[in-house]
Amino acid sequence: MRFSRRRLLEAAGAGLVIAVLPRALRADDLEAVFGRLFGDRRPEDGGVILQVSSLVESGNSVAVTVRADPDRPRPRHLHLVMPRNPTPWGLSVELQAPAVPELATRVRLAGTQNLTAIAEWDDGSLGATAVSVMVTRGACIDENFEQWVR
Amino acid sequence: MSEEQGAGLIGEPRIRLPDRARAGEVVQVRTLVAHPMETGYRITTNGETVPRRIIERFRCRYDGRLILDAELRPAMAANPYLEFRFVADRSGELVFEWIEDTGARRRVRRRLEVDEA
Repeated sequence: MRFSRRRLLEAAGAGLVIAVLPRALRADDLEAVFGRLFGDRRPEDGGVILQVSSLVESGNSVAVTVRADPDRPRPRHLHLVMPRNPTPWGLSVELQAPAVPELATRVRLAGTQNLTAIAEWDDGSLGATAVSVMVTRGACIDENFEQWVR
Repeated sequence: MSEEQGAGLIGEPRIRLPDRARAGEVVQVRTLVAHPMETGYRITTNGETVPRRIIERFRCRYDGRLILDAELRPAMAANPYLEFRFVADRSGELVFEWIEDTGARRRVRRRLEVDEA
């Protein structure tokens, strides 16, 4: 089989994706934040619903909706974590009746990452849902060459 | 108009909320406030770090009850937008409060009339 220029480029592209993905999906970033926020506790899957676009052009303002799973008891807190932001813990909100346990807001994403919503119940249990958000242009890289510094 | 206690960089908030509701009705609140939410990570072309300056707290009280207490951090977009809902169970005052990390704050009061069902 002969390698055409196109095939070569495709192969190179695939290699690039494989090289980039592990960094974007690394779990240990999240571990550090969980440790800081929750100590030894770790969330189970689910219990919270996270709505966000899976592809955004700019990370400067990304619309996000977090809501408690209506089939579960009402959590006291909702948290948002951006594992690859310089400050990954982004928002914590305590919602008490008669407020509905949900919040819509706009966040910054420094780059492609797994945006994670966490619900926290009164008994200390936690539930998390992550959505992978691909960011074409991360927050704070603007026309003045201002940039993120880690 | 909002009450100011040295409002810092906190702009005049914009709040969308009905004046009246029926008892038991779920009411939507949308709030937007002008603020740079400076992360402390930005560097100018002169090489100077722009100091961190964020609104770190947003609270809403409904007839004296704290129904929403949010801790905001630099990952919140500039001009923080927060949208939430609550069940209108009685007439009362809603007090919205934004607090900057300098201690500067703005407070807005809105009255909600709730008609008994």
